[in-house]
Amino acid sequence: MAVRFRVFASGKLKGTGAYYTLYPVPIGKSVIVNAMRFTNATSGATPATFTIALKRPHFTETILFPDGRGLPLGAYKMAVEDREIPLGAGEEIRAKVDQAYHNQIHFIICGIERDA
Amino acid sequence: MATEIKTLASGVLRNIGASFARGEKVLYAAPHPSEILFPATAKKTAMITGMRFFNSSTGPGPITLALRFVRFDLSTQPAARDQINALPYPTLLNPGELRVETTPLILEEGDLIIGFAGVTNYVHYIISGIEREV
Repeated sequence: MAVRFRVFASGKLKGTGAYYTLYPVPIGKSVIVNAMRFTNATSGATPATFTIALKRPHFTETILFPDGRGLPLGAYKMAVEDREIPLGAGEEIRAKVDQAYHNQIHFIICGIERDA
Repeated sequence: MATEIKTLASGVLRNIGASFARGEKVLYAAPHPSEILFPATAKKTAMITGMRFFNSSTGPGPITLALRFVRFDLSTQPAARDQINALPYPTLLNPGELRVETTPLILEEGDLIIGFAGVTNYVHYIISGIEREV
C-alpha cells in the first residue's frame, strides 16, 4: 500500500478558453490534493481570470476553485487553495483560462498519492 | 521507508547573480542520486510545511524576493529548467518584516527550490518540513 508525496502538476496555465486536463488520477491510485498555488507572473493592469474544476467520469466539470465566475488574479498576486481535496481513480483536475492570459499564471498542485 | 521531520534549508538569500549551487541560488534540492549538481545517496521526496523569510536590513526601502520551484528533468541542466513561481515575483519584504508561508509544497526526488533577493545577504530564510525516502 505505497504512499508517496507527489507533485501532480506544475507549469503555466494554457489560455485555451476551454477546460483542459491538468492532472488525471491514474487507475489504481487515489490522491489527496493538499495544496494548489497560482501566481500571476505579469504586470498587466487587467487581472488574469481562471477556474479550476473537478471532472468525474460521465459528469461535466464541477467548480473546485475559486467559484463559477473565475478568480481575477491581479498582477504579481498569488491565490492558494490548501483545503484538502480527495480524488479517486479516473477523476481529473481541469483548468480553464481565457486566451488573453495564456502562460501568465504559474501553478503547482501537490499532495499525497496512494494505491487505491 | 524512513520519514524525517527537519529543517530542509536555512541561510540568507543571495542576489540574482548568485551561482546555481546549493546555499547560493538553490535553497533546497530533494535528494536524487542521478542529479549531477546535487548528488545524493538515496531518492527522497519532501513536503515543505513552512517557510520563513525575514528582512534584516534597516532600510530604507523594501527588498524584492523570488522563490521558484524547478521540476527534476535529467535531459536539461538544472539552471536551464523551467522555473515556476512559488511566490509572486516580485514579493516585497519591508525592513524588519517577517513573511511566513504555511501552504504545503511538495517536492519529488530531484525537484528544487530556488530563491534570490534584490539585495544579497539581508533576507534570512528557514525552510522546514518532512523528508521521506521513496
